[in-house]
Amino acid sequence: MLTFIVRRVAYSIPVLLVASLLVFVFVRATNDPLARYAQSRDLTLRAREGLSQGILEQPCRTFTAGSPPTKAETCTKAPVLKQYWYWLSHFVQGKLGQSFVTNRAVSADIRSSFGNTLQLLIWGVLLSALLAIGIGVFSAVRQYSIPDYLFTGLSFVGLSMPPFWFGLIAIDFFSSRLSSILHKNYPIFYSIGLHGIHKAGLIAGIGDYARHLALPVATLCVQIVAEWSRYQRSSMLDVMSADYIRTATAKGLPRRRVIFKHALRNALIPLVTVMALDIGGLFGGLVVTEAIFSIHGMGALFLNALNNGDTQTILPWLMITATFVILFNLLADVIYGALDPRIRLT
Amino acid sequence: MKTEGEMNLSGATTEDKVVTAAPDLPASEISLAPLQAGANEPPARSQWNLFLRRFRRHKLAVGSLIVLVLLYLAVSFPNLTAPYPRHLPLSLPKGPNGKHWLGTDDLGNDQLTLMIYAAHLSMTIGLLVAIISTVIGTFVGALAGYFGGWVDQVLMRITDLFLVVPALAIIAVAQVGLSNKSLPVVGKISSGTLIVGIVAIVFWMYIARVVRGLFLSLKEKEFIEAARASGASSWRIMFRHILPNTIGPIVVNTTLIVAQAILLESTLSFLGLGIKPPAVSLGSMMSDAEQWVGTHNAYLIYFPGLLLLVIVLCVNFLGDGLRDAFDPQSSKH
Repeated sequence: MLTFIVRRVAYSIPVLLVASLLVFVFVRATNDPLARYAQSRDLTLRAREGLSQGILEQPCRTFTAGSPPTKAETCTKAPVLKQYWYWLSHFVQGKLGQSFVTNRAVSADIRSSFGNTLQLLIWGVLLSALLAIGIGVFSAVRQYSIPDYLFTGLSFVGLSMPPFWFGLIAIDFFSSRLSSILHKNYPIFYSIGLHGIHKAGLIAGIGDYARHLALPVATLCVQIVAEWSRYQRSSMLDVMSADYIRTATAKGLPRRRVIFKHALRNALIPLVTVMALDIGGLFGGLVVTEAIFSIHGMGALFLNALNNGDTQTILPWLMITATFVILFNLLADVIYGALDPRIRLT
Repeated sequence: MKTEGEMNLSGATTEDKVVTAAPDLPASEISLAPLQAGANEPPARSQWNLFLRRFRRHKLAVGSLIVLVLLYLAVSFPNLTAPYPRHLPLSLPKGPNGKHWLGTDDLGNDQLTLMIYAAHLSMTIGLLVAIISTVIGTFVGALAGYFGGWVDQVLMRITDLFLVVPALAIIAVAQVGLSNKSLPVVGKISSGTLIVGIVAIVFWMYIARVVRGLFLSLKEKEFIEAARASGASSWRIMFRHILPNTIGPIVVNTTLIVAQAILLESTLSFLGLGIKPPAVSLGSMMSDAEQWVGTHNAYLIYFPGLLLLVIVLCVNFLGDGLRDAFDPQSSKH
């Protein structure tokens, strides 16, 4: 197992390196971080910024021009590979530089955004997993019953649902209309941010937190539950037709025990693997939910950086999300090997 | 009606299994059939006929196909079907009424008319993306699966690379960076063309993996050996002998990509990263209408989203029906 993990990590490093090179070249080709100085009269600014990001390099030429005369500097542009090396060597040391949009260190921005995304992600994944497993087991045990058809139909709707539309409708109904129906002058569920602005006690604070989280988490869950419950249903059906389940039933175990102890534990193995894979992708996939509910998470950070051409933030963002995908791919394999003794990881 | 449709949802019905096991003949006659060839021969059924029979039994998929075709025809000729011209004089938004069935938007344009234009764009983009990514994916997957060895290694590592970086992010960066710029070779292109090209780049990997797997198993079969023995070139074996046998899974996955691409395009347009005005897509309509959430003008969000949901749902039903029809074993549950 240990050798497997070491080997996989060793294999991931070149993948990440090549990915980082491609991403870097791609971002540099599509976005010019110095473009915002194009109209600037003071060429020293451009030179200073370019030098600090490794886009420009020495020698720089100083001259005085214009009226009134200003001191200006022009430098030669570094080749892309050199720029990449400059960026990479700083990136691996954790020196991410400063964002000109927020005027804060990029690493601080990413850390605080990551915290917010993580809250959304943990609650969303927990809720989705519970719902999906419940629905999947129920549908499999009562195959071809009316609730089974209902859940199947709903899962198709969930898979076809544009996530942002669900979010908008949820805000429209639960945040606005529900209050007026109940004759309240405050929203039952909030649609902005993760916390209220007022300090609240512990109980009130938890209530406030839940009312903020309810709609974004629900929006996040729709597609995930639809996908995972289908998966859980089919893997549960596979297990339920296995011989050892028949044996367990035949020797007179209660049905509840057969389903939950014998069948469910085995049926969970494929689902857990899929969950690990999906969660890895979710770190970059909360863009929509965060945009609709004004949550300052990783997705919002990315959109904001992108709209302002802030490559200092975009590059590490892409690399961090890519690392999570690889990490969770590895985790999926490890979990699979740990849960299923027939799989031997070498 | 409803129960029948939903029964088909969850896969093959019992009739399906009978058809695939023994076409029309009672079990006792099967062993005799070769002896009395000619006299009692069952009617010859090509794969295609079998496929059609199974597909037709999938009522929901057939219905979805009909809805999609009719809808696409209707939105393809806005001059005939749209109740109003695209641009109307400026006025305040008005809710659904006798003159404007789905109301007017905040510029006074008829919402139904806008939705017709938008649905045409969204559906066309979905189709084009699916076709382009299928062609690329099939080609890559066929090469990797057939030749194996280092070709396979290189191509699959490239595929892995594309899977690692979040698709939405790559598309967004490309979209922001490339729109309104003059590109080499093609020059300046519209936001719609750009998004087709960019979205296709993130979907081909899924097809490539499926096709590679199929090629890996099919190339070991006897009929390929026979083709090789009779001197067929690699090219001919790949595209004349193996490819026709992989059509089923490819078509099913292409259909699913249509659904995914339509969703992705509308999401991007909603975020302001996709279709740019004056073109209008279902996503950008909802992006414009986001300000009306919670007001009595919220119908501006409900109708385009509902149409989008119906389109994607129909495509997904169609994909499910095609999967069952091509491979009745795949969904025994």
